[in-house]
Amino acid sequence: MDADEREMLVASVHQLLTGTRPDPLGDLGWDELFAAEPAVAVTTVFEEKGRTLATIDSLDRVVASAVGVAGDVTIVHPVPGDHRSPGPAGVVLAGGRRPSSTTAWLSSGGPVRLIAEEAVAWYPCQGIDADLLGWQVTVDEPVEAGVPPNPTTGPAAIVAARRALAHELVGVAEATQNLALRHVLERTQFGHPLAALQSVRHRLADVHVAIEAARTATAVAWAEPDDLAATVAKALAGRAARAATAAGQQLCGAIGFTWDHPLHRYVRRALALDGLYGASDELAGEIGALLAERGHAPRLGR
Amino acid sequence: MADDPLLDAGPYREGLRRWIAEEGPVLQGWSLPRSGSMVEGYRHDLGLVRLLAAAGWSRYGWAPEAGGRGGSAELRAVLYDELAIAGIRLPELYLVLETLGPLVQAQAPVLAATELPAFISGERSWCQAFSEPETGSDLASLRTRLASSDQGWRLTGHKMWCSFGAATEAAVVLARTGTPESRHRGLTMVWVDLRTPGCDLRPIRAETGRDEFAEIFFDDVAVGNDAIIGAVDGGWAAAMYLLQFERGMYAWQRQAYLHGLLDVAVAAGVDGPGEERAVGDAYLAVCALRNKCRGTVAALAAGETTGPRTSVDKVLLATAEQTVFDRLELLARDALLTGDGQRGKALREGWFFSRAASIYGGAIEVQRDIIAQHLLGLGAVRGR
Repeated sequence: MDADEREMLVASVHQLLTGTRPDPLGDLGWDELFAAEPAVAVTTVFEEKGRTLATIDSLDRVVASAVGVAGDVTIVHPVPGDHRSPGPAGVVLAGGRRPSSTTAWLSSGGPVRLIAEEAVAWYPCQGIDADLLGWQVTVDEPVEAGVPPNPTTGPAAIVAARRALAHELVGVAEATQNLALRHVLERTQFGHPLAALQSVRHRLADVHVAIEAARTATAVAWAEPDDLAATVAKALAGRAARAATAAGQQLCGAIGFTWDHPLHRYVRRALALDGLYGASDELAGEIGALLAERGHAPRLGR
Repeated sequence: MADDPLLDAGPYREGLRRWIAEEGPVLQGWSLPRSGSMVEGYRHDLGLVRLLAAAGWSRYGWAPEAGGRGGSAELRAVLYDELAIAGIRLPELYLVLETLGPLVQAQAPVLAATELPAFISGERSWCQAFSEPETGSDLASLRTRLASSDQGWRLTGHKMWCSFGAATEAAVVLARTGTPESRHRGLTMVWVDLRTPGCDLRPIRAETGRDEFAEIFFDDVAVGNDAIIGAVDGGWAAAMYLLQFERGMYAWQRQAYLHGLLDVAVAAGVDGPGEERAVGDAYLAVCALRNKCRGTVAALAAGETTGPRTSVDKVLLATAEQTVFDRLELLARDALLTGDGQRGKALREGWFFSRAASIYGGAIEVQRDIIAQHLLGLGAVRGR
């Protein structure tokens, strides 16, 4: 896909995600695109999802594909902040497949399990981001349903999820940065726009650096066979999104603090996405432990 | 030369790894950690520089006209990566070679033919002489004068902060050929043999305890026409060209070195979640630097101009250096505070030097200004 085709795809995705049609991914031809060019599909859709705060079930589809389940399986994602827990809780995202006959249960590094409906308890969840979160899910006595997926698919699903979420976090970071840029260019005090102040400019410059770091890391996460690259990408993207939203909360001042201003929706989304599959500070610890295990610092990307 | 299989990065890397493995015991003499006198360390490293040039590995990526074996500059990136992977401390000569060499190779062919081979092989080292006591980030304010004379030029002035100056025999100097008010328009880049009468070099001791820098007094020093790099009054363009490489391959060498420090730290053992997080933080900062400057190295090797985008590389470089040493402080606090052996001394030197990473080559505040104005479209700062 060349640069022009890419640009057209981004525009189509943007239009679909900001429109009112009930199945944007179906209209896009996600299945075909993902099968043919997974990197293009994930990069484009997840970055736009981040930018537009859309709530489509793209993460469920990526994870389902990595695990090798299809049909009416509900994907339960590791609980924010506790992705290493093998159970008993997880979340189902809004826009995802509603609780149904079988749930696919992910835990970090462990095998994916298919749990029957009768063993699962569902609670609606709003939490920090009511648009993103759907249900909290717990299991007391797991009842296996059907043939379990290949054990290697658990780690593969974590990698795929982290990589996709990294793209989405980059999108959130960029959209938030744009909000802040617009604000500081328009808002004046003491006869000058806020953008003329060096402390303001430097804060936004640091956000730009963080986004660039995240962006190059996501590219390496596709090119590099070492799974560590996806974890690095998610950690850097989480930090970029947190840096952008924190800068936005400071620089957009009082008006940015209101419910009506769009900023807090980006803050909520950044926090929630950062928390899925390992928040950036938790991932730093996971990376450190992995490096200790390997006995050296891997050089990712050539 | 076109048939040389080592011109491809894959075979070059394989061949180099094999050579490093074979030379194992010999190369241990240049392994991490190391501390002490800058000049002694620099001269000790010349042994490795000579070895790599004689074996040919460091000639790849330089043009045949400059004593090189041809091939993309990306081969040099492979060299620095592989040396650091093998636990070898990168000779500081290469930092300056990578900053000054590309400019001379591109814009001073006579100089490149006569002097660059000697630099690559460690026979004659150069330093960079841009800053002055009154000229740091505001490079266009410099005053060192290059006046025309009947046999070429005469150089008079005072340069400061010349890295590794006390170990070098030549300097690349940015001087004023225009009127005092000509700012960036009246500058010329010139190469100066420091053995020429009128040159007086004095070391500057940094808070690392090492003579990291030197100041050079030029008193009516004779300089020939062949020593001009680029065009007369084209010094600003030459400096901007050069700065790209400082952000590219210099940054790449630093990420190789920082990765090497993490290799050592991790091999020494990581104890508990606090230390694990420290290692992870440091690694993330180095990854961010590596990823970004790898792209810059590739762009420069392909002949592209990178422009203000490399201010991002510079910020990432300063952040990576300081994050790594801040985390190493946590991981090896006893060595840092009370260790009097090589490990403690090297850690202290590195920790102090990392504080300069946000100052040299253009202060981090200036980089943020550039990002804000040229990459984010926030307009010029009021008052300028």
